[in-house]
Amino acid sequence: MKDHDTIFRYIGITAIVLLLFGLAGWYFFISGRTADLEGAAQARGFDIGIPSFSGSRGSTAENIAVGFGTPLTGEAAVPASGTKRAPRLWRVNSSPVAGAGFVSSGSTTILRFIERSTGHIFDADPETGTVVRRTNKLIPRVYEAMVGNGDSVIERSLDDKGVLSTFSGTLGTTTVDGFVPLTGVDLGSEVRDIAISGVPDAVFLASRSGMTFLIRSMLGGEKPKEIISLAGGDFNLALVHDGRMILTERAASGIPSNSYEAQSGTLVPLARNVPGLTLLAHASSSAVLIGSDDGQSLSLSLRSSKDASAVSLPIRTTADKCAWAPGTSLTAYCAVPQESPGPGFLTNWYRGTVHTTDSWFEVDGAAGTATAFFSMDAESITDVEHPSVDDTGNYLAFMNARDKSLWILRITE
Amino acid sequence: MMPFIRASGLFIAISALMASAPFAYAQLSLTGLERQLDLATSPQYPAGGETVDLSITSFAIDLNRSAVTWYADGKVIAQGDGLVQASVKTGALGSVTSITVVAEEEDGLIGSAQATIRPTEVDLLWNTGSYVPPFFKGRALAGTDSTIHAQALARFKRANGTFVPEKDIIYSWYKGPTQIAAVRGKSSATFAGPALFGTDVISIIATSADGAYKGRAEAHITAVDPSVELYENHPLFGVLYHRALVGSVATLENEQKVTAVPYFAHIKSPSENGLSYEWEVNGRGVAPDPEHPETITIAANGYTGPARIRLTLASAKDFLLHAIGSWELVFSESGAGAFGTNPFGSGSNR
Repeated sequence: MKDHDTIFRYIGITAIVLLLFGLAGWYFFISGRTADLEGAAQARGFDIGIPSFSGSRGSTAENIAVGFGTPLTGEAAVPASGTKRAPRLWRVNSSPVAGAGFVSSGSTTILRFIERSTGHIFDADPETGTVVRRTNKLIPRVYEAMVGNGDSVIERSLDDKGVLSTFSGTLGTTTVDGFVPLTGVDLGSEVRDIAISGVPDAVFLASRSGMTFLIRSMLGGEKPKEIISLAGGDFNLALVHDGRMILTERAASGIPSNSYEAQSGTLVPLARNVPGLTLLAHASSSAVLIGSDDGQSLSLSLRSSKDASAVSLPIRTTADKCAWAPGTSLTAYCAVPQESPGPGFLTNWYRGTVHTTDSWFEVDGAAGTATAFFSMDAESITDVEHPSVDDTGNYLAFMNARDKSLWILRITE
Repeated sequence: MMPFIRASGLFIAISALMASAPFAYAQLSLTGLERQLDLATSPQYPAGGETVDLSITSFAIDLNRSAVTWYADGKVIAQGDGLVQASVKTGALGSVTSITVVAEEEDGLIGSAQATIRPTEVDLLWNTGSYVPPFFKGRALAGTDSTIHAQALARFKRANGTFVPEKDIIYSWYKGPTQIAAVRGKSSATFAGPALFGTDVISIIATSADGAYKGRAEAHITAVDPSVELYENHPLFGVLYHRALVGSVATLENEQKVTAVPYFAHIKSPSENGLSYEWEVNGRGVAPDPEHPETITIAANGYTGPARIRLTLASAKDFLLHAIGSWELVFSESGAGAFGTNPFGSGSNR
């Protein structure tokens, strides 16, 4: 009996030793294969970074512009340290952008913008002139983008078949490989226009079965609530900071249009039967700027409250080229064509067949006056679109409709 | 029975019976026996806060030899011999203004008319099914064979602040003088657009079911000839809709992809079946991309000089659609190219 125990003990010890040898051999075999694979990958250049995005900003402009051999006029040098101040008029991004908007980060103001070619999101510091790429999520050919507070963005793009998508996303709070994840959903191809603001929701116009629906929902499309539905009319949508939804009939030179504040189930008129109507609602009052293109020339007027009469302003431009200053004052900044753009301007401008060269005016709505405060030089010919003023009232951002470049103007030097 | 006429977006009730009065300008204390005057207003359907012109005519008395007094809500607003016209500013939506006019002839014959003004607002919104490219911010105008979708917004505000609901409003649609629909509770309509180069006057008359409120709006819709614009189709940025190719422009590229956009054509998509794109470059036909016939790629292959592009667009479904565009793209080896060379420059292509 004792002999059997001894035999079993020897067999067990031998089995354990053999198992350990086997495992050790397997480990060394795998290690060798991994080293071979890493060597092969290294030899193929797999560990080399993507060269097109190795610049300090990693933007399309920076990576491609060198190929054209000419310096980018007006572009601020990216400072090595944060001590350098950006020029008063700074071309933030020379390649086309899809959209931009100011966001507050602590006590600082940041201009966030979306690159048209990649959909990448960048943050520009208007004070120092530094630009940082935030995301690496690729969304090719973003034609239109919006920036909301709370790290929300909307990116609207077309695929190769021309199908429209509206990506509604939010920047993450973590960082992976230096970039912030951008997560969100596609709201679908039925979204015709969309707007976001400081509040964490979105308002969009959707078309279905010949009807247009104005819908308010969470950013990802959850909890949709129909505000109103219409069987006729074609609108541009704007969302004021205080949450008001503005629907303005799309304009054509000389053709009367209307503008409304959309409330649940009803449209409250803001401007009626104005030829070539463009309208900009004040963020904290019922004041509106009303632009008109009667087919021959432009005019701009200001109505300080709901019941007030519109006062004609001494500048000829559209409300699309204006932005209200923050706060309750009736101060606005408007880009005004230096020369009359000719008949049929709005229709031609929207088609991209005509461009203006603008100067900046400050509108004093209380006095009904407009004063020139900044003229572009010959190197900075801009046809202003999508202007906006940051919450501090110090910076004016806008896009150049000629090339979709992004600019910042420091309002007071 | 009290006869009434409709005028000026308000409901006008006129009682006109003869009476006598011993004074030059009649006081507002009618007996109901005065002779009838015809009271008209302009605009016919005034909105809130609008100035309304009032006028009277009569076959019963000689207004030129009468002392006429106009009242609004019992207060004199105008007075004079032979004063057949006056004006009054309407109140806000929801207000009611009572107009009374009294005319007294020298021989004591009196005529009168009364009206009640209830301001209304009616808007007529419309859009067409015409094609415009994605993200186009302007209005799609009516092209050939277009369809018009119209929506009426009637705001009939009662004195108590509530609005007459849509289901209690009768909407009568007119195309020119011809009524094309009259439906209670349905504020929208769809109809064929104007003929090429023609203008249709579309109007809507909205009336509350009880007849107390009435309003009108109209739109002049002119048909335009669809036109073609040409844009660079950039490999990175897509179609540069913001920068149309106009006239002659230079490029430093050796190959250029361009896309045509048929504005205001009666199509859903520029690549839909039935559309015929005939492209020519320097007089020679060029085959477009079969899936996207609105797009061609021009390869210079070392050639420098102008490439004259011509496009003829027609439709098998719409025989009136016939758009022609021509452009010149100059392939250069050097110089300040303005199109397709530097998407970062201002790139004026005028």
